[in-house]
Amino acid sequence: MAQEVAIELSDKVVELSPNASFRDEQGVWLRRAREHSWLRGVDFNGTHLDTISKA
Amino acid sequence: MIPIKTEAQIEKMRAAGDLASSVLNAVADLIQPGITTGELDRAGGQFIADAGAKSAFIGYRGTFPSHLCISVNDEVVHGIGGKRKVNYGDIIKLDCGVIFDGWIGDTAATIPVGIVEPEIERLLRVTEETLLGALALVTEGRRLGDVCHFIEQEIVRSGFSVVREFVGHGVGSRLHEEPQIPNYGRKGTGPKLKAGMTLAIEPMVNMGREQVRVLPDKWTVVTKDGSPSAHFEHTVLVTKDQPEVLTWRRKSLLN
Repeated sequence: MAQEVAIELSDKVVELSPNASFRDEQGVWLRRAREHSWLRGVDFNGTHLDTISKA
Repeated sequence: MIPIKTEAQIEKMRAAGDLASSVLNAVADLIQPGITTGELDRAGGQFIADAGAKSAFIGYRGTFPSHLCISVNDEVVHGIGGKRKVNYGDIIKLDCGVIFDGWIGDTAATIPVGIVEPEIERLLRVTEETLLGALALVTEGRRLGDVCHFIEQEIVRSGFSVVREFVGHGVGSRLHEEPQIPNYGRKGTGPKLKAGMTLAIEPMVNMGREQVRVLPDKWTVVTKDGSPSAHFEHTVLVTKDQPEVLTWRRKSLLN
């Protein structure tokens, strides 16, 4: 069973659910998480990036 | 932290993997035009119970209602068994996870119902062959990003797209353990694979664009553009030598 993609930052995990609505704080947090994750540099779905950057 | 299994735990995972594969095969044998996805799900649940095991999926996150994930055509993953009838020419994704003696086997395959369109058949073959190629890369010392990159490269080269919002995962006594295993990535990145890790590698491949959405049932993931999608999955053990596929099937379900 596939897992929804999540990005780990220290002991916190944020899920990038397609239906999620991100708050401002969470959006910033996600951008920061991307820089620290081993998935750094991977382009996530554009929808998510749009959602995050608008947050 | 990525769990490293002991030899005793691995032995239990072998049993769970073998059972998951057997259940998937048994349900696949029942697929025929006219049967409903609910009937397939109930049969799968019965096979699992008869073996003294439990579905690893039902009740997942408190709400997943099926024993298996059964996804049809443009449904990518996490389809719920129901009244939908299987039609000739459909593709059916069966995803089976079992808990046996406390340990989990997780496997999936896409089954064509009769003869499907040539491009859909190519989608299935490319996806399964890419999974098999990726499994060969699951060797001690290699970076996980190498496996992820290989999958993305093969799929994109074939003219298809990989789903990005859903990923493979570590598996053991819990269904979703570290690490996450996207079907995309960069070579030379990610955790280094070590003997004793058990991973569920599962390319989800769309014939059209990569974007997906979740239906109002909050589970079923479908392609946004309505294009068909394929899904294959194996649970694999990293060893000091060759990878050991714990959910191996003796033959491809496409043959």
